[in-house]
Amino acid sequence: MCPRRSFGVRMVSGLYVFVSEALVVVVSIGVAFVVAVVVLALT
Amino acid sequence: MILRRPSAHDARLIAFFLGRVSYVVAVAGALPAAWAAIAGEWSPFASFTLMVGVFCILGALGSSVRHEHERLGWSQGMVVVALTWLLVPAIGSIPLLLSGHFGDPLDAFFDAMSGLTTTGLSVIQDLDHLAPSLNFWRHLLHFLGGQGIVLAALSLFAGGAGMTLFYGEGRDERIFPSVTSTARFIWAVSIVHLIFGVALLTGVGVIAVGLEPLRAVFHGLMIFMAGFDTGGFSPQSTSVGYYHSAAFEAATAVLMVAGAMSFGLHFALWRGRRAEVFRNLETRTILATFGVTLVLTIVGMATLGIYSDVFGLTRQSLFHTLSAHSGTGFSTVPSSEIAAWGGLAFGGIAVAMALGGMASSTAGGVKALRIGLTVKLLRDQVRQVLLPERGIVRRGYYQSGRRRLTPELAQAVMAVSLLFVAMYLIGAGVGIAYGFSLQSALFESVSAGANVGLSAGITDPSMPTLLQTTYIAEMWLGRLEFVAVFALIGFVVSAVRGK
Repeated sequence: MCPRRSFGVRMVSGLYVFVSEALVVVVSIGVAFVVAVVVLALT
Repeated sequence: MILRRPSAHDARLIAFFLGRVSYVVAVAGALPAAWAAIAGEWSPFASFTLMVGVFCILGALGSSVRHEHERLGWSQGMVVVALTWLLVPAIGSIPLLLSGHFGDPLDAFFDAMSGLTTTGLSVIQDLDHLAPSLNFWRHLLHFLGGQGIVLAALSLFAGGAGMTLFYGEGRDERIFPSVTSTARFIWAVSIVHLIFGVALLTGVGVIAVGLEPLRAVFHGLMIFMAGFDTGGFSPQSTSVGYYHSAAFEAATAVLMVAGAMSFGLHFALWRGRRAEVFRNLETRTILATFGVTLVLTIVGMATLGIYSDVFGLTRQSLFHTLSAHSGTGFSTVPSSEIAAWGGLAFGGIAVAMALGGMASSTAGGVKALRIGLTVKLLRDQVRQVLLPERGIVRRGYYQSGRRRLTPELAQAVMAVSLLFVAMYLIGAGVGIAYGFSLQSALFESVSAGANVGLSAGITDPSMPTLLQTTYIAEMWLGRLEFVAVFALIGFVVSAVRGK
């Protein structure tokens, strides 16, 4: 069993995870945009 | 084979645990009841009170059964899970039915099952005028289902029931040695995401969409529960398209990503183990399948010519592929437009739905871990054939540590994957029998079986009863990943034919 963490520590860890998930979305938007540009150029 | 008839002791044990879960759902049902009372929505308040009363009676009946505090056996636990996921939507549909927004009890049960299994398909009528407390209950069903209703109950009353109920709800990754600690970690992740998610959606709702602050909080809360739990219900009939905002769609996308991630991955990130995340077979698989389905959808939409500008094409293809792959089912366009996509875009979305999110997440579908393991199995088979006669391929993979790919695991992965495919095809067959096109019937069946919720237009209040029942069964089977349902069927058969 891991030691209990305080609410504040959990919130900071959670914020880190939340920001990571937001980064995944930002990267996905970038990738989708590049693919869309290429596809539109080819079609 | 001789079947053992279940004893009265088995039935008592099952009734006892069903009673405990009923109490927990009664507490959850008290939340929308309180909401209705505060908002002065007296008709919904009365129906919620009735529902809570029924759950309490069931809880009391279960508790009255003599119980010797024994551990639940594997089959007993599976039966508890399968029955819970029938009982909760059945009783939970009472307020929906009494709202007058559903044509008959089956319609209300359909929506409750769709809510609890985090599917998001709906046959509700005039959603835009549904009382807020009822809307809250629909979305709360997503939250309860996404958490794992039995798992949620487990964290409140730890006992000898842990493991079997945990696995019965389609979760196979214990983060901590104790199931109770794992359940509590899942609660912690959900509550932290609730705080940040609702804050983000409310902020975007006020600033980018122009909602009034209180209304923005309401919409933020509803969309959070539907997004993080990969459900797909929304407070408005036009889903996320109601907000007409790319920023709002991006905010919901963050929650969809969070919901599709396994709680094991959440834990790794939570502890700052970023390197481990990218070593995992499941992460690599989902990145690959998401990339492929995204490209398919972009190419399909581009060739259709509906979205000729790069921003519209990026926005629509990314949002819908993410919605499909995460098993959420949010949409920004009407189902008639989705049906008109056809070809590659339709195929890309359907494949994304069928594959689903990560194992031990709130998403449905075959799951990325099974896809990754299936590809690995095939690759190992080919390598084995190409090796010299005495050569041996080491069968292992990385998933939060080095693991062996045993024949038993391979068999289980292949069996469940094939069952998903068979379910998708059977559901499509029923749709075709009612005169729907192969494309639409397959899309809708996959959406129901993978607990997604995107619709090609088949799901509506006038749909045939048998087709509606088929989709209900698909939602139930897909969410529980077959095992618990098969155990229930075995239990019933043993009760009838056993000795």
